[in-house]
Amino acid sequence: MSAHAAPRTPTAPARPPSGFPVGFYRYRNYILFAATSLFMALGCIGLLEGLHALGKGEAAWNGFLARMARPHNLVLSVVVLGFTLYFVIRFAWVGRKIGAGRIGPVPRPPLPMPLLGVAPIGGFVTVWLVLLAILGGLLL
Amino acid sequence: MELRKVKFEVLRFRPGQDVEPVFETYEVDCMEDWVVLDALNAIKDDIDPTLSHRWSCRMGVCGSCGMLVNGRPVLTCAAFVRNYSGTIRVEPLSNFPIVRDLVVELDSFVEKIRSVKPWIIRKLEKDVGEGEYRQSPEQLEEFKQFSMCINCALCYAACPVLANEPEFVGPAAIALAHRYNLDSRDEGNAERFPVLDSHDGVYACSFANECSQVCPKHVDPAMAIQQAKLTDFLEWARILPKRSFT
Amino acid sequence: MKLIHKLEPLWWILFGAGGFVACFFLPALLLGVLILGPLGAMPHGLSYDHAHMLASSMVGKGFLCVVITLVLWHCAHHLRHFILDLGGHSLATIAAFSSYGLAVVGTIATFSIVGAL
Repeated sequence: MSAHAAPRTPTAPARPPSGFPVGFYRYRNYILFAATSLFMALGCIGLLEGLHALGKGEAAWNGFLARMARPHNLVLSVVVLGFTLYFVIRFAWVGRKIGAGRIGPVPRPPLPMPLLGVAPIGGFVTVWLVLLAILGGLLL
Repeated sequence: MELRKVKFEVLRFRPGQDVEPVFETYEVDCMEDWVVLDALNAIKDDIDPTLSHRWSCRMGVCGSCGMLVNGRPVLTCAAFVRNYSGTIRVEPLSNFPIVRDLVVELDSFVEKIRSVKPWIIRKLEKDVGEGEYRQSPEQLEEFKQFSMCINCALCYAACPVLANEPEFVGPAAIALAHRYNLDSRDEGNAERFPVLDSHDGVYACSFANECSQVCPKHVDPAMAIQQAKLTDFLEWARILPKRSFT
Repeated sequence: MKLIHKLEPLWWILFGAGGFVACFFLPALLLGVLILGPLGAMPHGLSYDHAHMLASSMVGKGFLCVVITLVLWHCAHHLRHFILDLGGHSLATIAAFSSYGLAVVGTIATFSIVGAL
């Protein structure tokens, strides 16, 4: 700016995006995605509680299972699972965007865009089924 | 052609006159094929000549006429009046200070674009006599999408991160940096790395994806940012050298 | 806070790796251990003997430590950005330290609990 430049007129402050955080459906979805972190952390705490009970003996483990079977805990677990599944869908979308380009010397996978989004979900479901089979005592 | 009376609620801000922005309502006789920009020009021509707004090409290539229409960042030259019902609300782009009415201060945006050095950087320029830089169609495809940006700043208006962190480099600048980093002729990764790797660089993005939703040129800056994040990490961790791969 | 900013790529890769791991393993773990098991749908698989055998094996311990720790770091980074989105720039320092601090606590807790199996 030169020494003789005209002084600037006062500006009005910047306004935040319209509809943020929950007034517009796409921002609402984004906030839900961010909120999945709370529920996934809660799920991890639940798992740790189970592992802690497992380490204390059979009575503690059975007590844990009985506690988790109470209606309010089951509802919470279902909500946690629901948020986790929403996270999986949205995270696969991020992965698709990363996978759609060259990263350093690694070229983009030779897959059409729709398949780049669907293929990981197929992989996830396969692993879920295997893990459930292990937990169910069918595999190990 | 039939005319239709449409009400427009337009945000006004006149420094020295308005303490803060206020809405004013105008009733405009709109033709069937009008866009919002036509209505704004009609307001300025026939109703209120004090209204200020930016526009130029009228055909979606210059990026000048970006505004919020009913809360959504659009190019007003591409927003058809017939696609809206009721009163149409027109505001200046969010996340930017307002100079006057629908005109925002874009200095920070321009500075961010400049900061990523959006030009071919080479250690050694080829002598003209040695011929042109050759690039295959496949090499062009790698970055072509990200070169389509018209600097309209709609993505900056849509970004929820910028509302809270105005220093965030932003979608257009990162997409442009990524465009040059992917260009086979470029060797300037290391020069752009400090800006991309900074706290206000790629990692400030939290993948709202709203930038890609509003982009009128389908640049998909969110995609560029996510790819840039992984590339940046690999360079930060010294798994990849900080240079372009040709 | 300067150190937090210098390590942004690290927080992001932990977020990414944790998200990746969460996508693969978390839904099945939650469904099995927190829903189907308590409902009695896995009487053999989640009986004390079988569950303890799975969890206390070398592979089981490694798996549980890696999965739970990475998911907790993922959640920490995401939570930090969530706080910024809702609360604004003034909460930047407290958001970073509290979320990553909780992840550190969670990591220590995970290794202690799994180690004790």
